[in-house]
Amino acid sequence: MDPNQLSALQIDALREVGSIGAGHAATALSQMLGKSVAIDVPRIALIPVTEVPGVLGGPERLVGAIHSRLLGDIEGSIVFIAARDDLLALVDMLRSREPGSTKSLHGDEEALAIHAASILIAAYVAAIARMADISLLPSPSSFAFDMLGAILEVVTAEIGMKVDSALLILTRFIEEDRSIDAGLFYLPDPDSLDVLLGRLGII
Amino acid sequence: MSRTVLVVDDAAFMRMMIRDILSKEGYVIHEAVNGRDAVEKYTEVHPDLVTMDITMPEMSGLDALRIIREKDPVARVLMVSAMGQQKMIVEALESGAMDFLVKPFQPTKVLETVKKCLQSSPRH
Repeated sequence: MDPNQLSALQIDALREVGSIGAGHAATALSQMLGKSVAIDVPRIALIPVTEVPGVLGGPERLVGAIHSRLLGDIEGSIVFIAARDDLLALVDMLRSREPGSTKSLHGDEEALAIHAASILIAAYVAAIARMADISLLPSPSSFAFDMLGAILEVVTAEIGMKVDSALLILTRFIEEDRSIDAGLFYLPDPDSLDVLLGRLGII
Repeated sequence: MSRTVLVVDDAAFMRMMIRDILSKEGYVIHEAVNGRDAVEKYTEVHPDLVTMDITMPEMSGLDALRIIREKDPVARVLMVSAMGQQKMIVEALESGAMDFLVKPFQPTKVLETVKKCLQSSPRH
């Protein structure tokens, strides 16, 4: 399906899928921290892949990205992206450290951030699968730390030219007085949007 | 007489899902798009039950729950949210919600829980 042809209700349904995923990711993070985690109303949009860098702060922004393939009744790629400072803040939270304590992402810190992001991806994916009553699994993830533009080039090259739109879910996770911003984007393979919308009963 | 339910969710798709599930069973449905709208519609409609999302623009479902319960201490409110953390559920129940459904849900679970909320005495 051409994403430009989606009805308002279909776009709203995809936004709700993303929003429920974000709620479950907050629950997963709260379980990792042993503390309550709130979220702001997630910002969710279906946009052309070429517009993703602009929404996430520009192609030169330094980010960490965790990329998984989605396998099952629908396929595609899913990428978790967070700015370097947000990943450092995530490690502070997970290690119960004062904000600003983690200065670099190497060794254990990098492993911890990847592990946590993979759990958040799994929470988003599990919620989407339950909502649409489909089977869906993320493949083992790969991590890159680079400029946003370079990361997106790698991801889109891996998928090929067959994907032109991404469902982007921007979530602010809030734990007491600190917060982290994370972007998750799902790049559906051709036909996968039809399958998802069909399972949701709106095609 | 048909029971009235005020369905509160910022997502039109989710309001449609809940409306479809409940209207098939004869419930009369009213809708609100955020917490502030819910408070206004509650005063207008005085529904038998409110289904309330939590994460919404303008006013959250938890704030709307507190205001509605303050205006009407026997209001029946069922929270329906993806924010299924223990602390969030406890906070909602302590603020007067009758029950908590975690999204995504099965239609049968929605019907069962709505029925249970309407059969129970409202919380004071």
